[in-house]
Amino acid sequence: MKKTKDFEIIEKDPDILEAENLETYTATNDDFKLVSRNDYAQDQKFETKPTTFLKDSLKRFSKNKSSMVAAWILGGLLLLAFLVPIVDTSNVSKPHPEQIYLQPKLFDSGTGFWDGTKKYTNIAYDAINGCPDSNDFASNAVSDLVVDTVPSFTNSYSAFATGGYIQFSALKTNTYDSLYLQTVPMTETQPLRTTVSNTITFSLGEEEIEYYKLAPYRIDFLYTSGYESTEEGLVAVTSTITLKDYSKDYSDFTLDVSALLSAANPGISYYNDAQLRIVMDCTKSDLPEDERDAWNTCILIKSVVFETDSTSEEYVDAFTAPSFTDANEMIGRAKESADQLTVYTNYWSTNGNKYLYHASMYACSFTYDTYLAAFGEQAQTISELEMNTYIRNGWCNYDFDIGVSSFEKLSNKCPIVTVNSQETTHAGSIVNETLYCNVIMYRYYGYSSMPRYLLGTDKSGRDMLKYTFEGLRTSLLLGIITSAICFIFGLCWGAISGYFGGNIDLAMERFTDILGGLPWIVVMTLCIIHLGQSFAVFALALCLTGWIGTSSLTRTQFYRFKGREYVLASRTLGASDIRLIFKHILPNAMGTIITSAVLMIPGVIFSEATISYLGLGLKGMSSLGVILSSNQAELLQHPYLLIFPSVIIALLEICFNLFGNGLRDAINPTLKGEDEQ
Amino acid sequence: MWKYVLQRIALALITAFIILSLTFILIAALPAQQTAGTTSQMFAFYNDQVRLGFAIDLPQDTTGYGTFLWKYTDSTGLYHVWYKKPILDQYFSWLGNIVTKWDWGRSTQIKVNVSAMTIIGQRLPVSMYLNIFSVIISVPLGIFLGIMAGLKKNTLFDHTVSTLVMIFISIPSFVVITFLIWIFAYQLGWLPTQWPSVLDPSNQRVLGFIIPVAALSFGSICGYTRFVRAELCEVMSSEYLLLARTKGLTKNQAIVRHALRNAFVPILPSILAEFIGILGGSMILESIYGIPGIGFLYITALSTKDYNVLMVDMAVFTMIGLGAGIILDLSYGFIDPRIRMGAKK
Repeated sequence: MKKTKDFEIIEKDPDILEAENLETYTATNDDFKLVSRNDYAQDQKFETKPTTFLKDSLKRFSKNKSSMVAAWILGGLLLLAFLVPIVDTSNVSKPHPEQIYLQPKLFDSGTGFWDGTKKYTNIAYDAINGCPDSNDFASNAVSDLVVDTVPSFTNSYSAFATGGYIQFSALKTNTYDSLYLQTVPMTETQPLRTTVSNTITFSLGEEEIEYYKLAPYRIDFLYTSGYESTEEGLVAVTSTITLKDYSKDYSDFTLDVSALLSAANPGISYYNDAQLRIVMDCTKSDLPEDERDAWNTCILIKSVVFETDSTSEEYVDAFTAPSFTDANEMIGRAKESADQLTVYTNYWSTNGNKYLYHASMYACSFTYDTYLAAFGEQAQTISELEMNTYIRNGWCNYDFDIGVSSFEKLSNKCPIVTVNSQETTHAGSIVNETLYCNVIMYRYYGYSSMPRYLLGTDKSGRDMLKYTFEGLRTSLLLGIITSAICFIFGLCWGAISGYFGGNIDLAMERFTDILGGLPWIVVMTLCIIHLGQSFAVFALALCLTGWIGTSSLTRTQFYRFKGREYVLASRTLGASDIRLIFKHILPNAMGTIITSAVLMIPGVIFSEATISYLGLGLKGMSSLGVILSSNQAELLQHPYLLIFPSVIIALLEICFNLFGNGLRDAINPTLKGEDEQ
Repeated sequence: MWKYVLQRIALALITAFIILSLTFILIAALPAQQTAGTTSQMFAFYNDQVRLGFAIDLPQDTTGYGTFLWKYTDSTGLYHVWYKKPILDQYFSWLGNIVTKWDWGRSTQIKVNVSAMTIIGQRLPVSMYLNIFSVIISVPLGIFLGIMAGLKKNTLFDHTVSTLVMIFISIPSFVVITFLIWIFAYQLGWLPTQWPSVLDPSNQRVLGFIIPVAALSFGSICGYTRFVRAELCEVMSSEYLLLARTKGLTKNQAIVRHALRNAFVPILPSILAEFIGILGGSMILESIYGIPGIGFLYITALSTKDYNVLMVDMAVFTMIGLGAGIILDLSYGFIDPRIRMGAKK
């Protein structure tokens, strides 16, 4: 109906109107002359080559400088992650106890930076040997030794410290009413008898200590005065004689024990189970009642000297052994040997706390070459077997019958520098020769030159360079594999959900909603404690919730594109659902989805590292997370163990994010600048 | 609107129910872990398990009933053998206990026989303080930096901020805290190297907050900055702002009255969600710095195999996640009624 109407309102061309006015217009042949007989009217060919979508994206991507840099760094890291573990021949699967905690070394030692040395400060100085504590530090590796001119104080026992106080303290004034010291070990089987011909010289300290107040004290003498029979048998009756009543006298004083005891108990010449007790009564402290809770109380004892003139062999004089004039030495006595331990730890025991306070020692600072300590010249025992191998190799000459003087070095490969002595042991008919030599350790371990570990070694002596890059390889593999699986699965799920819509979509959406509500950390924890700590389980656990992001993104993209005209056109031509999904809708949505898959990789690496910190890291292989979490405790002593893996994981995350964002900008320029992950 | 709100909440509750049920069944399927503590504590614990319906107490050894748990002769001379009930039985008992008594089980290792909920309740405040401080610091700072960068778009300031944001948002928080500890605690010695205990003086305890709060805030500050900048840039190029300017408003008036207000529509919900969601984000930080919060509790429960506490902790994290999601979606709707997150298209 409408069509007829259209024809009615045609505006008439002015030329035709003119012709109508003229009424007679006859067309001639000239009116139909061709404008050009030779030229073809058609589109001109492109002068430039046609470009594809991907090429165009690549062009846009390469213009984005930061993303390009990130891509190059990523490429470099990837290359290193696969090359370094192959090129670096050191074995990281087994521990190397001889080379633990070597510092990172790139330059020759002495350059001061990255040279395998470590600066130590505040180390106890051994004045007798003129070096730092030789148990911990090899003297040949110490350089730039500076000893403090002023002694410093230490509150923990050191073999190189002197003096100080023994600090007896109660935790809080209201926790312990009194503290006592036993001067004599009291065992049930061996009651000690002691004579009383003693004097005791006390030297107490009166120093202000942070958080502590000096307490009033009392000195008691305890002994077993008799036995009384009870239901449980004979029970010792302990009597107390107060030698010095409560006072705040912190000056030096001498107690004439024999005089005090004979005044209290005339006629008794020896005492059983004698003990000296120092009671600290905190309630007698002069602090106001309400302030007592805020302070701990203590007393400081500088020296206690027991003197006796008894020569009697019948009675053990229990009061000479616990004498001390040097608190540091007193505390250290317990540490000297295992059998002494049982004796000395019972002296000066307390039911409160016993510390060393303010022992003085000289501290020193120095540069320590860890490589020289591990691989330099050292005293080492060489067995007959080893020596014979060296002789067979033609590295040196040695005659076991002649001895030390026959050693002759023939080659630089020989690890032995000098032979110091030879020891012959007989085990039945077998004669064993042991040589005590000075040995260059790196040659001894079979290296031709001093090893150099770029990133140092860790607590098991593993080469951190190889270990870190092996970890990086694992992390990257996990990231890429997981992302690929999540990508494929999420894509299919999202495509079906988004394409078909309706009830299918509703059901699938609810499923992803529920799964998406699960915190990934819970999923991973449960998976790992059920299935173990292997690579496959990690990948599975990360995939379980990882695909949801891709799926919902794909679904949104499908909703966006499925109503477009070109899809409709294809559908009317009879295209199947599969063809529509894969040939028409997906290619348009692909850019965004691929970008999200790339951005998923750093997320996976982060998740893996996080789970390692929970103590559920990969077993049997290293990953960045495992390295970081297992070295976390070494931050104070060996920060390099954490710095390099941290830098690498940070670099990895930054580069992946930059790269992913660049990719998104390139593939989908309309989204440029919209920073959402 | 109310229908939509109810729908979202109902869906979240169903999700929570399914997740918690699955978690419980998976945890119940793990090999039984002997309870720590003295025999009397164990006796009390297994009696309690019977009361709660997780175990059965038999007077003699039986084969084929279920997994053997423990046997004990009590002070009256009665012999007890405890066997684990089948998992589904346990599951329904568990549901019943929660619905009727709000009883989530007892700790087996961390604090023997103490209700797991009590333990969580003790640990939760520390985590909450940390996160509240972190939000208090990161929200204003992030918004300020974002606004500055957005207003001075494509200047040196903007580029510097954007680059720094890009870098710091990528660095994992455990790397950040590691370096913070190394520099400020070990090298400079200004801050405590780990979380101060309750016995430490109060100035130490205040200083102890700095490193974890900083490590937590770094990511949030960067997130807010990026978000605010992106929103503001979008609003700044919109037509209504042009109209506002043509109407005769000064640039400042236009920005404050139109640009900022509109830019805040998506920002405000994300702050609300962050307030809840950040609770779950400090697990590793708590373990590295030794903070006795729920994240550290999770790790302790995991390593000591205290599955009841672990279960409740997982439930807390799940609920936090779901709660943050709901608040995010709903607050969008309240602030801008045109938006219905997650509704049908």
